[in-house]
Amino acid sequence: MQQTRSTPSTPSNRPKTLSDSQPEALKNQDVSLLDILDCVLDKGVVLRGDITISIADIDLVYLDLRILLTSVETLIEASQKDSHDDTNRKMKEAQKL
Amino acid sequence: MQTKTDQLIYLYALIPTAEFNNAEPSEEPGIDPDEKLSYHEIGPVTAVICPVSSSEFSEDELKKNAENMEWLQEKAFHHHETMNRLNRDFTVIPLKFGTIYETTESLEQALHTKHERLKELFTSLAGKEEWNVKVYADRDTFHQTVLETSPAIEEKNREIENMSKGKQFFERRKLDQFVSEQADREINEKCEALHDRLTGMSSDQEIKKNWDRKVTGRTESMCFNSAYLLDTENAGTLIDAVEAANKAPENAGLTFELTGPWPAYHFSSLE
Repeated sequence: MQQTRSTPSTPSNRPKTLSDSQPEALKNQDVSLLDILDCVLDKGVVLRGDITISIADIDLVYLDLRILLTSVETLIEASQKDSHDDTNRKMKEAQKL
Repeated sequence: MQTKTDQLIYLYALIPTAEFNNAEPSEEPGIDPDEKLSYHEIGPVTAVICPVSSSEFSEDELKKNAENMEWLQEKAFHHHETMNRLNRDFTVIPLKFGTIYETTESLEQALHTKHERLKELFTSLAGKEEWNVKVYADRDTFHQTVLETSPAIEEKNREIENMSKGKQFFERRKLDQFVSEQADREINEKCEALHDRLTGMSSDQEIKKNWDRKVTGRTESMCFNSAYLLDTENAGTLIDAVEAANKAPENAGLTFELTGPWPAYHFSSLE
């Protein structure tokens, strides 16, 4: 049922990246693993080191098990030092007000 | 009180019992492939759960496993796929990946305290779906677009032409920098403009963090990342709006990527 911009009229456009374990294969897919992780993980995805994607800070305050995975706020901040990204971050912050 | 065992409860989703009563439960595989999905009725709310082993899903093990890309892919995809199926048949409050309770009793207790919020959510999510938009900028191409189409650049050029020759020389050297800044401004304006349009069609929206290029693996940089909750019948209007943004000549160099429909992952906070 997942659709993308490029093929909005194809209802059978299911995510198909998950059978490939190569991160390279995640590019140019209709719905990538990253899209899925960005939805199903609480705080989205971040990069750790050069290749690994790690769950970011799953915040489950109302649960028995407070599963707090790698805290990555600092990592995210660091990755946004890039001036373009910084501009966008400021814009988003402005929009949140 | 149930004693602690090595079994935990993985919670996928909450659905209204009223809807579930009208449906045939199916024999679907759980996140632990040896277990089946089960439907645990707690008054007006039915929890979709699966028993899992603490040797795989305890806090420590989950932390470790989540760093194993293959494991994470398989499990996150199962979570996502299961949610999509549920979302087709029911009004679904989707939980995030890795939502785990120690016992069904503790799950029941937790849901009791959230009773009002759950009622509210079922109402706000009924008949709705989520769509996500990510905007990418190919800056070289977009700079060219700005050079050719931006009224601000045109005006700047006219200004320069009216200057003395000496001043023109310096101003032209600064023009690149001006174009670059103008491009950044226009990217933000265009993303905001689309966001405003889509927000107008939606009952709720969220602006998310942009992903780093290293994460996306793309040469373009992500400059907007957002989620929208809207009536299912409005989806066509949203798709059209994003399509129009992609086709607009003054947006050449920007890619507006739309994915969906998703279960309402971004609009289901129990808090």
